[in-house]
Formats: sequence, C-alpha cells, structure tokens
Amino acid sequence: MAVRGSTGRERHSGTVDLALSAAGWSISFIGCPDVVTDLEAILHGWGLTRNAGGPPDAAIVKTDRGYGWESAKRSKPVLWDTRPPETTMNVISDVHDVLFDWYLADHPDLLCLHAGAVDFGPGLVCFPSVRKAGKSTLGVALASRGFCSYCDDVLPVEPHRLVGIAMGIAPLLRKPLPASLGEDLSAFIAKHAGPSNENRTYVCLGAEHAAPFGRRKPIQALVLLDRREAARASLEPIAKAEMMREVVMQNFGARSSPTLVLDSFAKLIETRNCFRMIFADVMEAADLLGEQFA
Amino acid sequence: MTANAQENPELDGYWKRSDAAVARAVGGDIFLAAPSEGSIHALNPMASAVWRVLEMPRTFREICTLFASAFPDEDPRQIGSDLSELLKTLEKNGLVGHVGPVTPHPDSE
Repeated sequence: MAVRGSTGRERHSGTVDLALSAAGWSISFIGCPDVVTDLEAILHGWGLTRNAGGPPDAAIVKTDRGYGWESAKRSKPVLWDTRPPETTMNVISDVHDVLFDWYLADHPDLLCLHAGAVDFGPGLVCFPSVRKAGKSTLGVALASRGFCSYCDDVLPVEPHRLVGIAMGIAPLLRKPLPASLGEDLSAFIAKHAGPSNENRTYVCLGAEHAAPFGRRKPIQALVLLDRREAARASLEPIAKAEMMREVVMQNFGARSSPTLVLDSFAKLIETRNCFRMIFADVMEAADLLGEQFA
Repeated sequence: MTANAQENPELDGYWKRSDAAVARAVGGDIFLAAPSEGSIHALNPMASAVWRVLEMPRTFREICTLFASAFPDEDPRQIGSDLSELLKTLEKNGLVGHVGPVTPHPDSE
C-alpha cells in the first residue's frame, strides 16, 4: 500500500524511515540503505529508530543521476538543486549539516558558536574556529585521553545560562591524517574510524568518549588555537577584546537578535577565562589542556 | 582640511549615534549591534574613537578638529578624508546618523 507523508511521496519498498526521536524528526531514505547505516554510525544519542511510523520531514532518494532531496517544510542542503551529491559520504555530511539548521530553526533562542568543545569535568572548554588550527583533531586527542567530546564544529549555546549543548555528531577529520599524530592517537582514530572517503573521515567516539545529543554543560573557558610547525605547547591569557572579535566573527546561523547575541557573547568573554594555546604536537597540547582545566 | 562639509554636502549637519545601535565594551574595544541590519560590528580604534566623541551630536567639522588636536603629527587633510569615509560606512551600516543640513549660525564663520 502506498502511504503519503508530509513530503507527498508514496512509500516504496526499499524505503527506510529513520526517526530521530530525540529531536522529533524523521527522514525517509529511498534506495540508499548505506546512507542510513552510515548516519546511524555518526549520530549519537538521537534516539534513532527505523520505520517507527509518522510522516517524514524530508525524503532522500537515490536515482541514476545521484541523490535527490524532497522536503515540504524543512530546509534542504544548499546546492542539492544545482549540484546534487553522488556519493554516500557527501550525502551524510550534508545531512549532518542540515541537522544543525533544523535544530537552530526549532530553537531560535539559541546562539551558535562556531567552535569545538570538550568537557573537562568542571565545564566545557571551547575552541573557536580558526582555519586549519586542528580543533577537530585536538578534540579527538582529548577524547583519547578520557575527556568527553561535545562537538568539533558547532556548539549551540543557551544565551542566558551560557550552557553548551551537545549535538551528538561524530567529529570529522581531514585526510590524509598527519604523520605526526603519533602511534597512540593514530591507533585510537583507527579503532573508532567511521564513514570516510579520500578527503575526510568521521571518528565515531560513541558513549564512552562523546556526549549524546542534547546533553548540556556550562562553558568554563575559551581557548584560541595557534598551531605552528614547531613549538612547545603553551597556554597564555589572551586579551578579551581579541577573543570577542574571534567569537563574534564566527557566530553564524543564530536567529536571535543581534543585541542578544552581542550581550551574551560579551558576558561569555568577560566572565570566562580566555587563553591562546600555541602548539605543534597535538597530544602534548591535549595533556597541557588536561592539566589546566580538569 | 579638505573633506569638509562645504566640499561634501553628504557630511553636512550634526552626526549622532543611531538610537537603534547597541554598544558593548569588551576589553576596551567597542562592539556594536545594529538590530535593524541584523549585524554585529567590531570597531577598529579610529571607529571606536568616533563612537566615543559622538556621545553628543557633533558636526563633521567638530569631529575633524577633535581628531586633529589628538593627532597633531597627522596631516589634517588625511584625517578629514579618513573620517569622511568612516562616517559614511558607519551610517551605511545603521550605526550613526546625521541630521541636517543645519543652517550655520551667522556668527559661526
């Protein structure tokens, strides 16, 4: 029997409806079971259930020409109309991105900090994005040392309490991985390797090393990463104005008013310790951060 | 001073902070939110200084005079040119506005 959901598409054999129960969403995957399997590998704490029923928020269809996206209400990844993806890895990384969009659309009161974040026990330490500074690799290195990864790229933040929210999405590392990672970290990454292609690989940390979707924790500090070719790992206080510039520049996607964003980030920067970390060896950096913040 | 109000009517009148702009000082730097534009701006030192002198409405000439006094080694013509460009940028982003032109007082020239 054909069933029509909110996408208006009839249900066909080969369809998997994946409910993301923790967020209250559902996506139909038609003719692409490998995409479902890979999403199940990279999403943690989302309450994933196959074929739980209910109308899907979107449908992803594999065709001879690549993948298509149908969605009546929800946003779709940019470029799918003009340049749809052709590989499983590209589909899951686009779904990964669109989950942020949907989450922020459902929670317009949240700020969006472009940063990695790791729980050291007393609170989160955030690493605002600096191009190719290695925040994702550092987050995985910290996970290998027993600290809990919250995110490697985007941290939703409750503006009034300055609490970060885990998105439960596996970190994504660029390939090739640097030879300088060392044996222990390379082995850890290999053990937790998830979906990958020639350019990128997910690292599926799971419950042991990563916070599930929706877990909340106060932010305790911000660290601007300064990766160099050769340097001993060091942490030094950074001017509040410099950190504020970085954080404001990296804020995106928030639907909150600019005044709320400005007030919240000003409060965050003024009330939390702010550092710059110079480093070359990522494990040395991870150990120094552990000593400082745990 | 070259970029004066007589030569550039766009600069005539009194410059003032936009009522809609919201300012916060963090670590000595000034950050402005312009709700109508949906944007946040980090001011550079010169823009911060302009924001501070616009605590009260001032003419372009008054602003130029203040900056020329503060930077006596700088070419006043360059100061005027830089301020002209800066004020127009701030106005375009909804952070300052100006009222006028105001008819000069007969004794002011």
